[in-house]
Amino acid sequence: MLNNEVIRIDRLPVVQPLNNQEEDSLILEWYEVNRTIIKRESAAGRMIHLDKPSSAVLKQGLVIYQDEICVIRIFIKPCTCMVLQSSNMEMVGLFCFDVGNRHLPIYMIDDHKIAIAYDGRLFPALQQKYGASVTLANYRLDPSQIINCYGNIYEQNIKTKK
Amino acid sequence: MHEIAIVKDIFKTLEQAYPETYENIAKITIEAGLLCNVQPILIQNAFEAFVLEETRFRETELEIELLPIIAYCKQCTSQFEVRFHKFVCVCGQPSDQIVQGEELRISQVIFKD
Ligand SMILES: [Zn+2]
Repeated sequence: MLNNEVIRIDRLPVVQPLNNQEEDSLILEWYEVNRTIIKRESAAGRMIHLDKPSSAVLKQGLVIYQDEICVIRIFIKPCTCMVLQSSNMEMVGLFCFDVGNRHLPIYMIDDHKIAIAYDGRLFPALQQKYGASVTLANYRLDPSQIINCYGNIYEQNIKTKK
Repeated sequence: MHEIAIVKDIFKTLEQAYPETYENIAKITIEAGLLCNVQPILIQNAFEAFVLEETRFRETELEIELLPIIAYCKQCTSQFEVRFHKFVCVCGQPSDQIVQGEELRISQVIFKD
């Protein structure tokens, strides 16, 4: 049974072994995974006030709450994506450069597919440049699939370790 | 990055509209069309960076609602949703007469009780 109590989450739980609790989800759009404050009903109707530390990233399936009754996980809604499918590394590199210049996250869907969220202005431009290698399809853009190439951050990490 | 400017603009607009109460805003909802030339993730991230600096808005939520592209078909005199970038009505008539998708606007502001 649901009561009207608000579930306040200000840190992520250390997940305990599951014990047949009810599975519930906090449904997010792909672009909401970095939000710190989210006040929203779960899929089953529980009111959630999420106030997460800004370093935590909300990935698909992440447990954000657990008690004896329920387990609440992150569910990221799939969306329309612009997908580049190519084994031509030069083309992949150029595409990442073009998209990266707009500061957009790029997702690795599988070995020869990369995706970014559909944008009605960007799509015709990409199609003109990359032709039939760029198509549209629905995918879930999960932050665990983001391609990272932050050389500067890597160097910073080395410096702080010294 | 021009998304930071957009976020600052949103707060400036709200300050002008609600000079006495704007620091008590609990939630701002933005509608962004798929043709508005602004990616929702960049606005969302710019907002998170903004409230890190402007800590008085630390408790404020920003929610973005993406608006699908809707076009008008002259032949059917009705509207249709553009899915997968196909600007073609179910009747087969192409149309680039856009009814929705270009907007970027504040659609709702909720204040703390
Ligand atoms: Zn028609």
